[in-house]
Amino acid sequence: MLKYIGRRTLQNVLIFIVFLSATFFLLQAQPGDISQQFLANPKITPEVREQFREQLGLGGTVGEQYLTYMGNFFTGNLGISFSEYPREVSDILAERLPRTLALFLFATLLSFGLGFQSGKFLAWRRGSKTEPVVTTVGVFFQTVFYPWFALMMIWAFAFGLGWFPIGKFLTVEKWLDAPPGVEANGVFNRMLITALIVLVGVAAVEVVGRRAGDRRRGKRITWAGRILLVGGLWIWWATVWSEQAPYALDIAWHLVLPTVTLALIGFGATMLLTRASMLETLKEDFILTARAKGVPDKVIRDKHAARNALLPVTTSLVLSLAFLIGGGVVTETVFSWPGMGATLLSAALQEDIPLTIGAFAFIAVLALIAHLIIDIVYMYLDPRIRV
Amino acid sequence: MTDRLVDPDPSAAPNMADVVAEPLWQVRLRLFWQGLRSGWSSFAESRIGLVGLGVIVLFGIMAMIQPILIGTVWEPAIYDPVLGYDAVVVEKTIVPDNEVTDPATQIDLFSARLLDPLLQVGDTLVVTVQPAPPSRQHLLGTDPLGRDVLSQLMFSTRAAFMLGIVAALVTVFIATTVGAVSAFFGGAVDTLFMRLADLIILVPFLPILIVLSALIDFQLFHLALLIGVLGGFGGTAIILKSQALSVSVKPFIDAARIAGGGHLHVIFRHIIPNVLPLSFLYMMFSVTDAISAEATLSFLGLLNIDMSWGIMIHQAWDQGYLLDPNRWWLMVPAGMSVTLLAGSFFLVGRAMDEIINPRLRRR
Amino acid sequence: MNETAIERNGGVQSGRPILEVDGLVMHYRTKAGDVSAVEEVTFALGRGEALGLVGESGCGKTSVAMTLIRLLPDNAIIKEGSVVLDGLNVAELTDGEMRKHRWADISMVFQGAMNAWNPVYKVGDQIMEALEQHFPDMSEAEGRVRIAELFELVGLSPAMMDRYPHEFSGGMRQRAVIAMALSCNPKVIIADEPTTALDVIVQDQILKELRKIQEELGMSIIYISHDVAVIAEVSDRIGVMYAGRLVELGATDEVFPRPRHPYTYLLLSSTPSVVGPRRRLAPLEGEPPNLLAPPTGCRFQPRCPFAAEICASQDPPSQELAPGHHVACWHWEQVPELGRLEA
Repeated sequence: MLKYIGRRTLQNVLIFIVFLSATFFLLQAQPGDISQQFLANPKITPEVREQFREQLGLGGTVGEQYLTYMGNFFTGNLGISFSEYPREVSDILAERLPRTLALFLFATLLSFGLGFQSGKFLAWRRGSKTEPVVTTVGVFFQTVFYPWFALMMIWAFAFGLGWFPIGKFLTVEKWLDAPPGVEANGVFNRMLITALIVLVGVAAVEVVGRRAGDRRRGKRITWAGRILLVGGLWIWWATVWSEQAPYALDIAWHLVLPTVTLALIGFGATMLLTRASMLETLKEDFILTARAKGVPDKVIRDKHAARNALLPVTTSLVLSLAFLIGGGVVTETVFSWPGMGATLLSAALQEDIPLTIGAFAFIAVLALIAHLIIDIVYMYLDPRIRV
Repeated sequence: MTDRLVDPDPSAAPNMADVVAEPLWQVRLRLFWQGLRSGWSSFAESRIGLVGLGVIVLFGIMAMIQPILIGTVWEPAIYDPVLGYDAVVVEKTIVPDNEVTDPATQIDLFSARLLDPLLQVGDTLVVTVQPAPPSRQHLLGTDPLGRDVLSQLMFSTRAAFMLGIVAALVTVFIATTVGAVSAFFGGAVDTLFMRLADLIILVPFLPILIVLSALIDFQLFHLALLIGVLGGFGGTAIILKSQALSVSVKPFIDAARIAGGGHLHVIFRHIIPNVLPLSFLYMMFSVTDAISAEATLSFLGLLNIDMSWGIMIHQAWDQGYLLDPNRWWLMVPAGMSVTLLAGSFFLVGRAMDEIINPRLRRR
Repeated sequence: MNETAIERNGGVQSGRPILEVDGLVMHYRTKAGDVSAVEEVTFALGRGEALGLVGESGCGKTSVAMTLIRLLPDNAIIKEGSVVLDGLNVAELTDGEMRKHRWADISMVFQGAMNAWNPVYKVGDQIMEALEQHFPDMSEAEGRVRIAELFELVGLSPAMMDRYPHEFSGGMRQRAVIAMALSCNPKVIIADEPTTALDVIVQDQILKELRKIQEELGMSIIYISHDVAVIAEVSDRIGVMYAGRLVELGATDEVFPRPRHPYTYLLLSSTPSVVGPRRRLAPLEGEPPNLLAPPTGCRFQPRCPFAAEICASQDPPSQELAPGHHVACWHWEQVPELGRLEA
């Protein structure tokens, strides 16, 4: 199992190198070199430009330039942004990566959970009357013009109903009188860490419960673990981070609508696929066996049918990753959510090459890591490929 | 060509003489026609497929009549989607500030005095309205620059169709060839193409296009080609390869090879014709992707084109009309059009899937 | 408790039959009309007895089995008749009530048992699921002991219970399926084509094993197969089904040498026998009728070499020729001994 993960990781690193190289050669194909950009910016003096050229090894041959480029990249030296001069690209990205990660993580989980559950129930009902409605709704979310859909969501839920703020990361007025230790990135990182602890913790407790030997004891362990985990974090926020808590809620309130909107576009495809996959699974012999054993319907649906239908749906998640990441760029732009996607777009529009490449590379890394995680989850789900 | 069919097999159809007399192209045409008819009758059973097809035809008509209208009923200076201009003139009564009840006929004093400081409450003011609401001259109103929205909408349809179809043709051409070649040769060729496809699937599509648009000045045609190439070497190639693989292990392929058919002959005359129905199906899905991709890019302001549905929404959003429910005509028609056309191709694809895809075929 | 439970059914050979099926009629509702899948089927299964049901594909064997265990699709309706399992009419129970009796009272070895295992769970856990359902007080440790016993009984290593189905060979999976069917000490086991997908040698081993277990535990079992040879090997009595009807029912050693229904006769003459006397094989021509519109009168009449006028107009009643030997045919006297027709 470790060997498999190791091999996949190595593969992904190789893919990433291929990828970076392709970007490099694309840059090479451009007329002039990137130190000639932003000539109108008075802050970027000729000396600074010369420094750039040296740092990027632009004086050398193509081969030397390539090596410098790759070397810079892997030592974390991504250069300096032109459009946000004189900030380092790595500094900008370090600030924005968590925001994209949060949006992407919550949207993926929400869309997968929602799509899987609704697909499961729809397949179980099996009513042919609902089929056209289900298909239409599923196809709508799958093919709706996403930027427009996002705008309509803002229009309806932020403007019309006023439930959520109209875009942005936080309410500026609220943050003006924030205590000195409270600062947006710090609060947000704390929130993200909390969410990750919950996710990893819940999964770990689940595994421990499974391994407990006795089923009933395992269930007790799982529940105790969950309560301990959530309760502990709750107390931690209420005491140690109590100063940050109201500001964290403000950010969370801004995060809801973009997350739900992004989740909805993935939702349609997942729902349709789950339904189809579940209908296939229900025809399998082992479903009949389970019924013959006298297992209650609910257990057959969840433990037997849905568990097997989950496999193809998980595989398809790999394909929808690219879709969700693209949707993430649009979401961040439309909701003015200052993450990697919005950064990539504004950098590209201003032809700020170092920042564009940096943001792009990190989005690719994000995609590759997500891919790897899905692979590992799949391996855990399907005993047939566990080696 | 006709001599190939002269095969004196007495056990075949009783009216062999008639069949032999019929030229091969006629036989082919007849078989094609029969296939089309039976395909159509299965397709017609799917209601969602028919709805999709209907919407596509509707948009096709819209795309075709716009140039006709421009030449006949619509004055080009007013109705040109990019250069036209029409100011709708409206008389408004001036009311005290914060007492505007009907923005279509009333204007508050503060705004009126910006135009003319001498105006008083109760005066009437003649203003030009841009964007103007729907009227008899402009069925869907005008945009912030005074251009006719309906004309823009119809003009953009043509571009959307062209882009979608070019992208889909390129996708399917590449994917079918790549699929057939990798299935036929296997080995290193197969590995190369399939790893490439994995790579393309992995890489988020939209960020690539964003990066490229920063480096290259994008025209619509370039975009169509690029979407086609990325799609063709990506996921579609994998699906068509698996289909080609299932064809290439069939006995008639061996027969063709033993009969002395060269590689190219076997690939193009025997494998590809059997993969084509599925290719055609994936063309529908490619059109959907291409239309959405174009609209998204022009919405983000990355394309160097004059007019498209994406640009219409971009302008309305950019100029702050999003949160004005009274200006629905700026965003709703264009957004609906992208959704409907992309969705229709998708629905047609799904309906065809049920006929063509062996895994889903019911009969 | 396990030891006593296993022995519960042993020894008792006489008394009231464990299962009585009386006048069972089951139809499938379809858009094109009703499919009469099971028509007037009556038989009884004694305690510790092995009954074989044989017939071509699509003649209602599996439909009978599914009606007994009440695993019918939604469009199936039991129109008439009763299925009395140890004094309890199964045909009248609601789904919820029936669920408690499945596996605990009547279990099944499925057709195509290869796919009877859920690929994502360990085999032992899938058997445990049945035990948990029907013996809620049993602890996990007791359950594992029970599964280990069952595995030994069917000739599997108990260590295999912690393996996944894909790690089992076809024969092993089938043995495990039998172990699962035995797990809750059912009163009746239905074995639907228990060995069809296996190769001949494994098939033979498993049939012998099953027969041995059945005799040891004194179980009542219904075998279902299209393969006459399989049925002959394992059953005490044989029932022949055609187009939803039970056309002949009798002791195996009575029916085999001297079939009384033309269909039984043709079915037997189309099957080679290695052990019996040499005889010519006669192919069974034609196909079973479409049950949406079954033929009038006797359902076998269109394919029957002895068909006369009465056959097309009137349905032959079931007659008891000898004690326990029932036949539904107007012309049973004309049916010759095996191998004589061509002479």
